[in-house]
Amino acid sequence: MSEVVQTSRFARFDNPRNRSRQQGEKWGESQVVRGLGTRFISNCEGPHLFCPLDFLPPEREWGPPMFQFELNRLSSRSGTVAAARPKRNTPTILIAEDSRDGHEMLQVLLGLKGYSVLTAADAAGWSKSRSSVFPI
Amino acid sequence: MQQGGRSRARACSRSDFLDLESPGLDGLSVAQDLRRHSNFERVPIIILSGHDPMEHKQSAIDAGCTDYLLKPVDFEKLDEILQHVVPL
Repeated sequence: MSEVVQTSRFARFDNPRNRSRQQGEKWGESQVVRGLGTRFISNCEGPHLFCPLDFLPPEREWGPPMFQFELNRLSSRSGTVAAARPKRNTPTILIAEDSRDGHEMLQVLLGLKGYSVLTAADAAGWSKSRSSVFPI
Repeated sequence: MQQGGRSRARACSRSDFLDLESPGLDGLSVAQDLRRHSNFERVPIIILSGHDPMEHKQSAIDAGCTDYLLKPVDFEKLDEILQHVVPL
């Protein structure tokens, strides 16, 4: 049986560019479930950005929508910011996935883990990303 | 020659996640195509698919893929694969 050990509010931004706290249009909840890490509980339709308020650096370029996936590194603010910062000489992962939710979720997750991530939704995008990173 | 060596070295630290069936982008064909090129010999390629791995994983491995990840993505499994093929 999962045990919810913490519930926090988070802001939902319909426009990812408007990510200051005052511009958050709707609120949702995140739950920290023992053994499962943090889960974001909300509807996710369209290009929304979900971000726990405690982890919202003002100038950080946050990734695309995310909800209901495990983010153990969000357990502390400093850990989150450090994990989200791109590092030099980190491995690059190219994701070729047509499902927008699918590739965006992976992009955020892998980015938080410290990887550099490129995505492509179709053959043209994949070819473009590939040639820019993997010169043939 | 030197440039080719650098490209290979750079490519080794990278990884591809390919959907098995994206529009105009057949993951297995792409994997086969990549493996033909020397720059991609050692780049890990992971196939993402909702198809039963019992039926499709072997064909992905035969096409040159490194691993096969079933959708929806199991994050523990994803972590295992990442630590194995592209450790930070």
